[in-house]
Amino acid sequence: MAEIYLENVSKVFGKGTVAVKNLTLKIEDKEVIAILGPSGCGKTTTLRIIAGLEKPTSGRIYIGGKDVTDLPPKDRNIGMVFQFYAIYPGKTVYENIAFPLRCRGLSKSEIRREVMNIADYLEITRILDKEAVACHPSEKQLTALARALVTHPQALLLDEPLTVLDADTRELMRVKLKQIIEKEGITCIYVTHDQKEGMSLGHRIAVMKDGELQQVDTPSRLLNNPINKFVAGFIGSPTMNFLNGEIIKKNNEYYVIFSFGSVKIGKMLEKCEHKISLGDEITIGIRPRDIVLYTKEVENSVPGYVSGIEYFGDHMLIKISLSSGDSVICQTTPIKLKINDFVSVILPEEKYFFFDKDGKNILFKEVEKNMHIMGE
Amino acid sequence: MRNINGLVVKVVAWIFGIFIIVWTVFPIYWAINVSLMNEIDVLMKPALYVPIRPTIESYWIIFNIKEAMVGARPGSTFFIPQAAASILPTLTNSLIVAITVMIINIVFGPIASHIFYTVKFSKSNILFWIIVLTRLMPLAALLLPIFVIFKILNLFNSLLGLVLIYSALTLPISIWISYINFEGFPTECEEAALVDGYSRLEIYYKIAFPLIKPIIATVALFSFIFAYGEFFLAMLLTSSDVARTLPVIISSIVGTYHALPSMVMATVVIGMAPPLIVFILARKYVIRGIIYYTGQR
Repeated sequence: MAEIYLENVSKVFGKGTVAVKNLTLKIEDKEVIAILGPSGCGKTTTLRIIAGLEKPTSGRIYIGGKDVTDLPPKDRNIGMVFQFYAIYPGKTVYENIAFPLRCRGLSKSEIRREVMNIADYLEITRILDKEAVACHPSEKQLTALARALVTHPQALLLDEPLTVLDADTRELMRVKLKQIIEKEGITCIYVTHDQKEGMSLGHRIAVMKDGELQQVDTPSRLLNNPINKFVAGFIGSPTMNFLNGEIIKKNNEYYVIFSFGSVKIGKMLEKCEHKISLGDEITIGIRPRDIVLYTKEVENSVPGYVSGIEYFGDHMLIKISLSSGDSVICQTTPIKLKINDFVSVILPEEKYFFFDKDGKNILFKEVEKNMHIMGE
Repeated sequence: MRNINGLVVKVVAWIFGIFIIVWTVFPIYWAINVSLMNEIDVLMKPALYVPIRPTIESYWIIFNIKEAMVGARPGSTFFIPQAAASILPTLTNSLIVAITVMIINIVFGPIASHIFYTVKFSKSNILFWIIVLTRLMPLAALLLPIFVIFKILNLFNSLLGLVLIYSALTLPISIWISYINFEGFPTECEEAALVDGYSRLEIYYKIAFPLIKPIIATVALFSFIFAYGEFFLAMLLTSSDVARTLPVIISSIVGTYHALPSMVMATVVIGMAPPLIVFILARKYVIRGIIYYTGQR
C-alpha cells in the first residue's frame, strides 16, 4: 500500500513567490498520475515536495498512510528520476545503479544480484561497464530509472524524464517507460509539460496553473469535460477556439449570439448544472477539428477568409478570419487553399463547450462522446 | 612559405622554452653549486660554475652541528654562526606547520566550497565573496589586527599561531579554487543521492570528492608551499626555535659581520626537498587537472 496524499500543501519561496497553493491531491496505490501544466505552474515543486527535497510552507504529505512531511528524502522510500539525468559522474552504469544499494547494508553478492535483475529488466545489461556519463541520453535516463527502481521504492517520481531526449528516442522511451511502469505496478507521479506524454502514461492527469490544481481526471474526461477555460485550452492539440457570445431565448429555444450572427443551441443548456440566465456573457469553446470548412458559401455558414496555413502532411491547420473580426483555427485534411481565399465555416453547436464569464465550464458532457479526440 | 612560418614558430617556441627552463632551473643549479663548495672557493672571481674542490662540508656541519661546534670538523670553515644550530629544529617546525596547514586546506577547503555550491543557504553568496575577498587585502593592512588577536589569544611564538594564521590566509584561495572546479557538478546529482539515501557528508565523500582529486592536489600543493615558504609573518610572530620556521633561519645565517654563502645554499637545498617530495606525490593529479581544465575550456 503506497497511496500518496497531499493535504493542503502550500509552498512559498523566499521573496513571496507562491509556487504551490493549497494543493490537496490523493494518488491511489499503483496509480500513475501525470502532473501537467505550463512552465512555472508549480508541478516540479510539487514533486520535489513529495520527494522531500523541498519543505512545504504549510500542509502535510502522507506516503502509504504515514506522515512524511518532516522526513528527509532518504527515509521516504521513493525513487526519483530527474530531468537532466543526474548521473553520478566518474562512475560506470553498474556503479550508478548499485549506488543506492551501497548505503543499505547489502552484501556484495546481493547488490550484484539486484543490479543484474533490474538491468536485465530494463535491457541495459550490455552497457553496465560503460562510463555512465559517456552513454547515449536515453541510456542515461534508463540508468537513472534503474537506479530509482533498484531499491523497490513505494513510489516512483519522474520529473520530465524525456524532455532532454530528441524526438525519435523520446517516442521510443515513452512506450518503453509505459511498459515498465505498468509491469512494475508502482505508484507513480509523472511531471511533464507535454500533454502527449501525460495522456499516454497517466491513468489520471492533474492539471496545474500558477501553483493551483485545476482538475484531476482521466484523459478523456479532461478532453470532454474540462472544468474551466484554462484546462480546455491547455488540453487537446491544437488549442481550442474560444468565441464570446450571449445567450438569448426565442420561441422557447436558446440561441447564442456571436458577433457574426446567432446559432441555435436547442435545449442543451437546460441540462446545465449552473443557473445561466439570459443575457449573460458566455464563452463558447470549439475544437479545431470540429469546425467544418467549406470553400463556398453554404446555408448557416459563417463567411471569412484564410489568414494563415500550416501544413502537417496528413492534416493542415487553417487560421480563418471571420467577417466579424474573430478568428478561428480549423483542422482539416489537406486541401488546396491559399492565403486570402474565401472560405465559410460551420460551427456545429453540438460540439460546443460553454464557459461562464469566470471561465468555468457550465455544461458537462457524457464522457464516452468524442473519444477520438484523445487518440491524437 | 608555410613551411618557413612553421619553422620560425618552432624556433621561437624552442628559444622561449629554453629561456624559461634556464630562468627557473639556474637558481636551483646555482644553489647546489655553491652549497658544494667551501666558503673560500665561493668568493673566487670569476665565479666558479662548477666547484673545483667539491665538498659536502656545509651539509656535514648542518647535520652534525654538535661535533662541528666543538671543533671536530673537516675542511676549512672556521666560523659557525649560532643560527646553524637552529636549522634542523626549524626545518621540523616548518614541516609541522606546512603539513598541518595543508591538511586543514584539503579537509575544509573543498567541503566548504561544495556546501557553497550545492546548499546555497540564504546570503551564502555574500558570505562566499566575503571569504574570497579577504585575500585581496594587502598583508600589511592585516598586520595590526593579527598582532592584536595574537596578543589576546597569547599565540605569539607558537606553532599553533602560525598554523591558524596560515590557514586563514590559504583557505579562501582553496575554497575559491575548489568552487571553480565544482561549477560543472550537477546539483541534481546531489539531490538524486539524497533520494538514494545518503547524507550530505556521504555525498561529498562518495561523489564529489573523487571528482575533484586534481583540485585537491592543487590545493595541497599550494597551501603547503605557501605555509612552508612564508617569511614575513613568521619573522614577526616568532622569536625562538620553539616556533621559528626555516625561512627565518636562512635569513639569519647571514649576520652583520659574516656571510656564509655555502651554508646558506646548503640550507636552501635541504629546504627545497620537502616541497619537491610533495610535488612529486601530487604531480600525477596536478597535471591531470591541468589537462582536464585546458581540455574542457
